[in-house]
Amino acid sequence: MSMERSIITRAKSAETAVEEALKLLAVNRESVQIEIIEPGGRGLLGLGSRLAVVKVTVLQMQEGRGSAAPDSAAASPGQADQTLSAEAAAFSREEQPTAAPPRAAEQIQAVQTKPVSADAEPVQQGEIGIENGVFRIVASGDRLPLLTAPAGAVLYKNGVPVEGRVSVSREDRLELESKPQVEPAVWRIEIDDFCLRAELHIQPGFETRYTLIDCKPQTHLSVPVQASRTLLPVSEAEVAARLKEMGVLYGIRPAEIKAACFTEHAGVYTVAEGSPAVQGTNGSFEMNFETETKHLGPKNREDGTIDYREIVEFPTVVEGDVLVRTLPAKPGRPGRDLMDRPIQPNPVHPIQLAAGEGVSVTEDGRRAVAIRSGMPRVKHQAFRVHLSVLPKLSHRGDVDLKSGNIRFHGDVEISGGIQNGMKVESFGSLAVRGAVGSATIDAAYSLIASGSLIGAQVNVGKRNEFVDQAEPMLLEIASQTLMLQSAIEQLSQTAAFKLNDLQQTGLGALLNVLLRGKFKTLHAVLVRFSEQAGKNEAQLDEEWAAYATRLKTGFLDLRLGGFRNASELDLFRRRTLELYESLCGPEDRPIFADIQYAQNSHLYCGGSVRVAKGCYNTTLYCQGTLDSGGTLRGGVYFAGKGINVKEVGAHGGVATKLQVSEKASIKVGNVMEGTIVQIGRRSFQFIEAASNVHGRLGPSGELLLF
Amino acid sequence: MFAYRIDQNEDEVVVVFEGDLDIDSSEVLEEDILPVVSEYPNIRLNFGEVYFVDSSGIGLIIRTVDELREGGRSVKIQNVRPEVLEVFELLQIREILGEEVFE
Repeated sequence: MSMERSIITRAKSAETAVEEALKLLAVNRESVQIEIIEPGGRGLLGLGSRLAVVKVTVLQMQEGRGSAAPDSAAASPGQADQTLSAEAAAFSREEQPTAAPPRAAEQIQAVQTKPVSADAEPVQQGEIGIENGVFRIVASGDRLPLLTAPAGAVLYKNGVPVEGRVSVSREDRLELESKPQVEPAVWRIEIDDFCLRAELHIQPGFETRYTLIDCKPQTHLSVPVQASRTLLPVSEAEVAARLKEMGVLYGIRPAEIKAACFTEHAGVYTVAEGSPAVQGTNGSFEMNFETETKHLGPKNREDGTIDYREIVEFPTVVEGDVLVRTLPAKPGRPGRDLMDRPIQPNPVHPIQLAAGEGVSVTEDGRRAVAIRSGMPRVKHQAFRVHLSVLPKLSHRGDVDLKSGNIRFHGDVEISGGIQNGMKVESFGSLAVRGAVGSATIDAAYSLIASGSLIGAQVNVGKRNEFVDQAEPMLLEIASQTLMLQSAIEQLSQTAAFKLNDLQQTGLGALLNVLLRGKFKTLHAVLVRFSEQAGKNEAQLDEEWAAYATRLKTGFLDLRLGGFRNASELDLFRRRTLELYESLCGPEDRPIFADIQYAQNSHLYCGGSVRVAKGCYNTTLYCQGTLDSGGTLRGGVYFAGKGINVKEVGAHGGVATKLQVSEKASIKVGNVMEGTIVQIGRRSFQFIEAASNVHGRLGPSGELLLF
Repeated sequence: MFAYRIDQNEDEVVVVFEGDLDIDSSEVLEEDILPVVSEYPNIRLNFGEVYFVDSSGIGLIIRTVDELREGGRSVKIQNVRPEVLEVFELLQIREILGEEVFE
């Protein structure tokens, strides 16, 4: 078995190439045969320089075969390759010492071949490398070297771009695209809906040039390239022109434009910004009195019982008190948008004080002053604050035959009691210190009875039922009346319509026709309102009564000719709106009844009821909750929002019934036998006494008692 | 100025109004015309020569038509001039009296 090692080296001179080869082969000059394939030196006409190529073959055995080197003079570059390939087949890589890296300065390129066993069929394998930025192809007939196109850069083989992997032969012309690849910048300007901000969205543009990286010849070359990217900045003038084209004139920021044009990263730049308007503040007001009825308790005592003493006090003001002070509205400052247009701040509204009964507003409109003593009321709606002071009647002693019945438009306070057969009616709140016999009591908002009620008929907060119904009707009347006014206006401009009779007798005849035809629905609402007002006449206060009368004589009872003219009709419409406004908005006074003890009485309350000591044989209906720290013994007690009492019923079975709506619950400490509890439609009668009852409906409507 | 002419045959009476149907002519309509026409089952009111109306006149016409129909009479209003018809439309007289009254 004989092996031969050989290597071909290239260098600037033949001598250097030989030295390099000897080093690589780790042998001395005496044990090799040297063949000069290419002597190197100056190129044609002295331009450029060609590398010297030498082939160095290790002599296998000094005493063995002689050199088989071909005649160096006959070796052309083409033949040299042939020789290389042929002899490379016998070159064993394993025997080759670790090759020192080629010295770049000397531009040495070592070509190594695959080890092949000597007795195997010799395979001829082509190679390709890059030297000084030029492809070097060493290819023989059998197997051509392979080449994989570089990523990004375009490589042409004989003028055709290469994709993926191709084979190359010596005749192929390989060229890397020399023109730079250009990715242009992509940008756009966006303006927000308010024209206050212009944003430049930019994806910067680049130019990329590729150059080949030198590498040694190999059978399969993934062409190495080096990319150099240069930014292609966007023209600032172009951006400025685009802004102008979009109408942007104000708030342009040249520094931001510049930064955006020269950025190397995608991004968003605010290239123009307007100044938003500075918003002002609306007027406000402050009140100088307690607005709500104070509930000072009830407090739970430590032993678990409840203290019901003095639990409520009404707010009061005295004549001359300043009720409300207003703070003026502060207007905002206008801003400027990108198109250089002014942006107005939102308008600001001052607080408008409206004086109701018992209140006067100062000339500058800044303060509302009480002109009588009593209970202040506030209606606050948007920027309108309506204030009134309800008078307060203090009655000393009992209400009896001597004093007569009391009917008062305001709060009433009675230091004594109310005797049998008497009647007390308050359009505000009512406080009674003494006992109430079989008398009738009506209070619009609240009742506080410090004595017992024996056989009394009590209504608290009933007026509001009418008010609830009136509210939507008023709105309907106001809007329909406005349409009615415009219909009359339109009619008066009609050529064939004479107006003389209206001037003589009022609008009645015309209203009659209109309410029968085009304004049938208005007629229906007016009739309904009038009916309701009639039913609740006793409970209407002056303003409501006056309004109801005007409505009737203006529209419905036309014997007196109805509204006299358009301005009366308009006055009526505005009055309707005023009343409507006075109704809506938060109810400023709570409806409730606080009583100590009731017996054989009948009590209705639109809100919640608190009973300190208890009730006996009483019918009580309230829309809120019923709380009692005492015993409910006999009678029927309904509370819309729930009942919470200490004890119900009596030994020996006086029938007592507690009832709540289906969503509410009943909580009782002690229930005596015979007591009935009803929640929604489900009821239960206790056969024997029980404690800690918690009655409510379960998820599927079943009655739960504990 | 208000005048009227009554043409009558066996079962029909036609009243031709001439002039303004207004508060001043109401009396004539109510006191002179109504008693005559209510004798007939079919009544036609010809508005061909009515140029102006007012609300009192219209109110009275509505009342008259209602009353006559309650008494089982058939009433028709005919030849309403366009300018008067405009007023009728605004007041929705057709809706009040019913489409069948107009021809």
